[in-house]
Amino acid sequence: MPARAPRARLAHVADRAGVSLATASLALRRSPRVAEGTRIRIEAAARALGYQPLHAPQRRATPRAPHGETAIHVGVVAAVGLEELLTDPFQVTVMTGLLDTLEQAHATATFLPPPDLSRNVALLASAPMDGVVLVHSPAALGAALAVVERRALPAISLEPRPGDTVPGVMWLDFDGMRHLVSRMIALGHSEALVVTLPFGGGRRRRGFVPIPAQADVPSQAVRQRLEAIHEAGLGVSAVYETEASSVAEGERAGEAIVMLAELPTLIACQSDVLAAGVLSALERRDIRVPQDVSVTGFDGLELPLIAPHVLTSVLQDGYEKGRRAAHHILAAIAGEGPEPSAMKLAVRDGTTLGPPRAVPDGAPSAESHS
Amino acid sequence: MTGVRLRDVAERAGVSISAASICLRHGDGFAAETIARVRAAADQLGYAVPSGVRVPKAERVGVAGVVLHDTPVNALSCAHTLEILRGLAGELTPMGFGIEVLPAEQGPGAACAYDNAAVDIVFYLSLAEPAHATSEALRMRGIPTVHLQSTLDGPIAAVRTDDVTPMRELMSHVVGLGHERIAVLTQRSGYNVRAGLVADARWESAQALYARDRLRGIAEAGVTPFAVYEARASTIGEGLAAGRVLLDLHPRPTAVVCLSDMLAAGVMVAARERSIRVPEDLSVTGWDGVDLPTLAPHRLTTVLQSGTQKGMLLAAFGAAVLAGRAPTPFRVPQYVLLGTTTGPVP
Repeated sequence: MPARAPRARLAHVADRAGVSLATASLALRRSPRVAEGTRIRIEAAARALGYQPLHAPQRRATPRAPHGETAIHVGVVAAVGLEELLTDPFQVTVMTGLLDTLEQAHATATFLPPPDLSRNVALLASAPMDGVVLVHSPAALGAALAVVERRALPAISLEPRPGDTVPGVMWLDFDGMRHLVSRMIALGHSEALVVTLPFGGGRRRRGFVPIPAQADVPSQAVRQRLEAIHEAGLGVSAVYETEASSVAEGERAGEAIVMLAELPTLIACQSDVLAAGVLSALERRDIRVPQDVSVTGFDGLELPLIAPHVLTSVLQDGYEKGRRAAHHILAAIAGEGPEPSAMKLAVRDGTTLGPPRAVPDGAPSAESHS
Repeated sequence: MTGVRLRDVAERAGVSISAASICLRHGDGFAAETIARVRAAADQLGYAVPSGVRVPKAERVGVAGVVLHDTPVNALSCAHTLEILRGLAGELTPMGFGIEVLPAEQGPGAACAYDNAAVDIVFYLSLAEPAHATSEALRMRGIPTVHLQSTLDGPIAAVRTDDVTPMRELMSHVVGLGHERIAVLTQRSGYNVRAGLVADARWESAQALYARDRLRGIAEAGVTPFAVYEARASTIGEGLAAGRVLLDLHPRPTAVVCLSDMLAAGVMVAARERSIRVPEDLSVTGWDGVDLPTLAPHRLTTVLQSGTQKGMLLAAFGAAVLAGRAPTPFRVPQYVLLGTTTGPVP
């Protein structure tokens, strides 16, 4: 938490009263779940700090419950429906962190249908909600964002962009990739074959593509991760674009790569599941990792089934991202203005990145597969 | 009366729609003053108070509740549960429904969440058990509840499955391969469940109905388990922990029969850690038939049931309930699927 404090925040109140953020939030909303003595202590801390809720109480989502407690409803707005959201293992971990944390705070999440139909936008306008989590960039949620603003609902974005009006929880994607690339360079690698996520922009392609110019890549994730490779000084020998982040797509990429005249020394995949697929394709050809070729991922998913390998990857803790989003939105609902939160990404050192094989041309393993 | 909607009443009384709805019916949990204010607003506007418990279609919130059967992390770590959720969401989203995820009955804040859920219907991802205290709370609020699944002779649910027969068939496959030291990895989800070897392995003692039926299938095949381990969730991590215990037993079991594919995958990892070859040294079976691509080149010997299909049928059943019908549960067949993880006893 940054030291600067132009305005007392809920966190400061919680700190001073020696309670959790959630307890402070509940106490200031006079929840009966907080003991009287604790509430008095928290209110005193709030007064002493001159703490003032940012927002006036929002439209209450729900009636006072028979147990005397008011439940908090958090809306989750994505560009796609829940079915599609859950096809992405990384989004599943983010949503798990969100749901686990909300549950602990006695709050629930409501997944709204995607705002591509006016009927769904109307639901967003009427559904009982105290605040919203935007899964995709606010720009991709046009009509939805207008409704959220009209309802003056606190909001937090999981995909913030420069210039957004909605505060967000974001990754320092670029930095994470750069750290990984410096590991590669330190081991002696000079270039990598990159297996990318879909470039986005509505079309789907699978296969080797010309090394793209930045403007040709609508997806920010793909763009930033490629850019970080360039910036850290590693060459890109070829780019293989996949249709989706899945093990099956990774296997297809791996099969295409082993058919190349010369096996690359390093395959940098833009997601862990793609890397898992590449590993399985290599294993079928008895190509050793990392002796013959190094493979890296991005995401830091738990992939116990690729044991004994541990994928060298960039660790983005999806669960933690979801957890933070939950804390931010709960604080915002309690009247605390959420602040953007940037999460540093660490490299997960695994077993799949090693020095490049000694003989670059006509290496036995490459020959046997050409 | 024509034209006057619950929304107008709520607005006039200065309460939410769901509050207005409750106040016009039983008023549970609301101050007498609030109830009087809402009823007065309805009178003034000429709003006809619905006589039945069901909220008229036009007044639907547009949100369906989904009650998880475990903590979110445990529920969403199971590929089969994800399939069910995706199947359900894939039907509800095109109908325009939002989906409110509600905690399991023993979960923190469950009572509060059920009392406050502003939903038209609630789907339970758990098996239908005879008594659910919180379903009662929802029923009192006039919110219909639908359970995902039940055994053939269990309470009403969207889907009925016979778990006894496929387990009996799977066991005759395993026994036919010559296995005698057969360990069973069962599972009980929920809060505050402890994982570990269990002494009482009789199927009648199993808490979860589906586990009871599957254990019964094992007994009916004439197999007395060599050891029984109860995991507390259907996840690879739980399967790994169980596998580490079961595979370190002396003598070691030659087959581990798991009640889910996630648990079986965890046992496969434990076997790999110990350089135990599958299926040469150890046979492993699962249940569900989920897609586990990182298990390649292995395919689990398992019992196939489609989670996606179950989720879709749950939605269809719920839609019928909302339309005021009393639908008949769907029968979903399950098949033994032979993979590469079972082989002759070593």
